Amino acid sequence: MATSKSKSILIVDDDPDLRVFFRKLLENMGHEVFEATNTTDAANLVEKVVPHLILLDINLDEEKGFVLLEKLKQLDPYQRIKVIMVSASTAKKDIANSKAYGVHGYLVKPVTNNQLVTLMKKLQAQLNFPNYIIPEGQENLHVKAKCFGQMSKVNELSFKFVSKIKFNLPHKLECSSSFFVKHNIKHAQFTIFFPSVSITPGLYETRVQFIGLSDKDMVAIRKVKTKKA
Amino acid sequence: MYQKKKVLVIDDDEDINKYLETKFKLNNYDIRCTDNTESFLKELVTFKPNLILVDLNLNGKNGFGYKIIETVRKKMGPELIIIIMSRRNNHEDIIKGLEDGANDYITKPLDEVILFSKIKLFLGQEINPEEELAFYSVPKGDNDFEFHVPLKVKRISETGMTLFSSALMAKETLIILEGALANIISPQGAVKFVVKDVTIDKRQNGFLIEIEFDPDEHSAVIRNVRKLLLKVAPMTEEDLHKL
Repeated sequence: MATSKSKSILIVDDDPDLRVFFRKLLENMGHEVFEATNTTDAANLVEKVVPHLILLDINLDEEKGFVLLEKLKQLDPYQRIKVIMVSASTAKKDIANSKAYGVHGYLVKPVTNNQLVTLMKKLQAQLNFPNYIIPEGQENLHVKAKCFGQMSKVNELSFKFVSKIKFNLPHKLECSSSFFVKHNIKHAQFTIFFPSVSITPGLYETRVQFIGLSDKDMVAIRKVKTKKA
Repeated sequence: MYQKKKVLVIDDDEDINKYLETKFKLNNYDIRCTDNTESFLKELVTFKPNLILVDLNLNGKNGFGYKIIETVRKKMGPELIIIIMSRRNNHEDIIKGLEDGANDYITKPLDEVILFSKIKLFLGQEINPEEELAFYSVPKGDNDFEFHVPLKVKRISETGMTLFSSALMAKETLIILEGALANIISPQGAVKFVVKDVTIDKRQNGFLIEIEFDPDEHSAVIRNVRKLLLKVAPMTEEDLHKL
């Protein structure tokens, strides 16, 4: 079962034994693991799954791991994805190159269990992508919430419904009900004029006015004579 | 000082005009009735009514009233209340009238209770509960009700979202998020959530609704949120100051 601590990790290495080793350890820690053996597949996976972390081998079969870092410049312009270089060598050139790209760490093969666990512990807090806070006046990501309630009463001019939403301001309401379909009043507009009234804490009754009903529509509603509410 | 509400009527039917004049005077309104466009438009400017009643089929010309509604709405802005009167029960007529700028529609022959209920409602006048039309219970089989509440996204992260709403959503309310953002983060274009927390936002006169992503139920959503967050520039000093 995934938890909020589970991260998404991509292993890029041409050594199958190493990939199995990393996968077992990371999955045991509760993380989601993906694998690639070359930078093309790796780049495709980055686009598809957006991992939090990439464990990148410097010396892949046909190419240097740094090629992926070049591709990441476009895929991840703000460096949200953390990269740890993995290498068999401690060659100064490789370490210097890694630093130049701004990777977040360096592991030297053979990697022990402890080293990987310690690294993950250290990185854990930094792996979540930063919050996106939309500045006031720039809210252009529109959403609406579909909510549910029950119609309670109706007359020729309005109806009341019960829900967990309390309306404070008058406005036009986008809504639907079998009742409207049955009595052929789907064309009507529905407007809230008055604030909702609290029935019990967390439960509110809202009154909605019918706008644009013809008298034929009103006759249909009058026929709903089950009992006076 | 109490000021009578002013109502202006345009209808070529003399009987209607007489009827309305009597009824409105009885109910303590300042009423003027006209039967042609010229005098109507003059009175609009000099009398300055709060509400106008417009016959849709003036002079027997079908739908002539629409032109009047359109013109008046453009000229007088959103505050003037416009109510259409018509003998026709056509849904298309009603929709067109509302789209052209009318606030509501009443069918002729006019029902006095309904007419004055609507007038009082739109003019913000108090309605005597005894004068209200009786309510009936909605049968259990038909009482399902779905509605939409528009929201503004304030914050998105891998763990959840903060949304601004002018209406209060109680904790544990079940909602289905739809719209542009839902299309981005969910292949179905709709995501089910339960409201985790609600706080008052006094400054913006509304509420901040917190929803949390469930790592199992929303695993695809969380991944799509990361895709979105990848492309968002870090906040600048200026943005941080605005918070």
